[in-house]
Amino acid sequence: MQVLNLLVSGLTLGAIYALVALGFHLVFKMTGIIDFAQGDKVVIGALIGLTLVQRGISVVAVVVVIVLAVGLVLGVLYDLIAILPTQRNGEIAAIAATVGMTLVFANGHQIVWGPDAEPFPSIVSGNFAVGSVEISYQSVVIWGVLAVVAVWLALVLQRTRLGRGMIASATDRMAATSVGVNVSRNRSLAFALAFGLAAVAGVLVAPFTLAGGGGLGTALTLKGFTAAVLGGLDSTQGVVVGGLLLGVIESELALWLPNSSVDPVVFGVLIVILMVMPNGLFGLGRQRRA
Amino acid sequence: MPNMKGLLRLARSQAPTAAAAIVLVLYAQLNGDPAGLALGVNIVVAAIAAVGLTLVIGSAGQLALGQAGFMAIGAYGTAYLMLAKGWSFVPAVVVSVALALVVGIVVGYIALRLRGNYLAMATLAVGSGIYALLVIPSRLGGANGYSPIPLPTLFGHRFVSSLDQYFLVAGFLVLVLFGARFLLLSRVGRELIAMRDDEVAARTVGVNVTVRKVQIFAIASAIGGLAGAVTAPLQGAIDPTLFSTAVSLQLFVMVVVGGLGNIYGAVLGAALVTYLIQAVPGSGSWALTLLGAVVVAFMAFLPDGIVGLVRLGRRLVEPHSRRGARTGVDARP
Repeated sequence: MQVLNLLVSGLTLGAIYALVALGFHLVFKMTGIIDFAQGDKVVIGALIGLTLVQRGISVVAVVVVIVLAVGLVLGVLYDLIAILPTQRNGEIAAIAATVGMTLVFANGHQIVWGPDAEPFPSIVSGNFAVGSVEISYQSVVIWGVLAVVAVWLALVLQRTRLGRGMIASATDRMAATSVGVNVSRNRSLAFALAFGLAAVAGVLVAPFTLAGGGGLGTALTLKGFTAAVLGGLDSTQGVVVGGLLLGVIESELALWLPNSSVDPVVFGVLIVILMVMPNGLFGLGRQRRA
Repeated sequence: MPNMKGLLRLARSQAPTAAAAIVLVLYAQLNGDPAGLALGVNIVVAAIAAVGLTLVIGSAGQLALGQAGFMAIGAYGTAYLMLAKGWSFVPAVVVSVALALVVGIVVGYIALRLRGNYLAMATLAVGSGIYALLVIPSRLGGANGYSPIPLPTLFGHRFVSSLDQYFLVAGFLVLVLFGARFLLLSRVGRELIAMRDDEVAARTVGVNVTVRKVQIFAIASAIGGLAGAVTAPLQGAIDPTLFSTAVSLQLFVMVVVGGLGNIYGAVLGAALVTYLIQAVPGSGSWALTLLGAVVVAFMAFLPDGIVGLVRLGRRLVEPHSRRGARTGVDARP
């Protein structure tokens, strides 16, 4: 039953990728920017959660809510510091600024929290068995959060005035402004949501990945982006499916490949996907994105 | 002397390269101690890779974030050929640079199909992929590194002293600067800039965009490979962390700080970044956090880098002069 066990761990891993990928999707759909610091925001969220736990807050729901709130505020600041001032300097400026923020997060957290990764207590401990397959409650919580976030996000983006306004801002800033969409506020909101989402994801995944440590952020950025592109950056459903699929594929690869060979395969897959089907599995076929 | 005029023009156009060479010699005079020279070697090697990256990002407008991967190809190629195959320095460097060139051509073909954001992520994946391949336990030592690589020998001279080693890499940097400057001022360079500013327009006036893109990626990758190839025998031992994604991002910072597209600026950027990482305590954490903030600040206020400062100053002096051009790098998603 190795295959089924790997499927479960793959779905958990995939849900983590999907949460990171949803951050990419959110920012890209609402602002047209791809944020290279997305994975590092996850790490920051985990570390804030770690501080809260070490200060003695043991109720998980409280930790998650506080981290979400802090993440939202940080997101607004992030937009204010890195994105807003670069808006008039062309799009490469915004991308380069997010790369700069990647460096700030990835190295800054080592100053604040120390260079070594630290263990993070799981939110709910324990396992239950379905047949011969062991499933941890932690995985169930992650799946639940992913489902809620994905459905909520899909509804907001597709059914509300706010979401449509945001998509309009990303598509054509000038046209959106001229019909009364507050582009600047929408961008700020998008980055706030993306940071909040990433921060919560950080708390959820930290029990698996440890909190902090170098290199984790970039790895999450690349994996999350691969997931997003696999499903189609434009589609909320696609991003979720892409994340789960990537997680499952990666886990099942462990049957055939040694652990260290998985990453090169995944990065190769990313390049192939970008070249062969840049719109992803669920992408809107009308427009070539890459 | 039929071509005196051409030679004169060449000499004049290479004046900044000559200035750079003089600065490099002065550095060795002023920092003759082994620690200073070791820092100098690190700066110069980073500068070689950064100049290559500048050609792609600044001059051709292609956002590439995987330069450390090509350094790794050059370094591991040279190290393997010298240690396991017993080759001497020069042929090992030539073959490993050629290997980096070939991989660069492949990446160039990938770049043909991608733009902006997507290209940046794809090249980041190439760099991270090469790093991940090197970590796998193999004949190349995996995460433990690869050693002992013999010292380089050139025309029977063995580069043992720090001063010799410094002048070896400095010589390579001057050659790379000379070549890059020559390339940028040639027809190819002007075609690249036309391509960066408006690809469709460039195509219309007869620029072969396909060939140029692949060429510039190949050249930049080969220069990155050269940086790795010269450093490996000097270090004696190499390991994958020398070529991690973090190093790719540092090289990107050097290019940004130096002013996207200015090869001499990239050398300054390399010096600044390498010096800060070594000089500021905290094994790079403080320095890199600061540099990340510097990149954000540059992108907000000075998208042209240090070179932009000059332009800004000029604009302050003559308020009615024409507005400075933006960086015309194409980054449509």
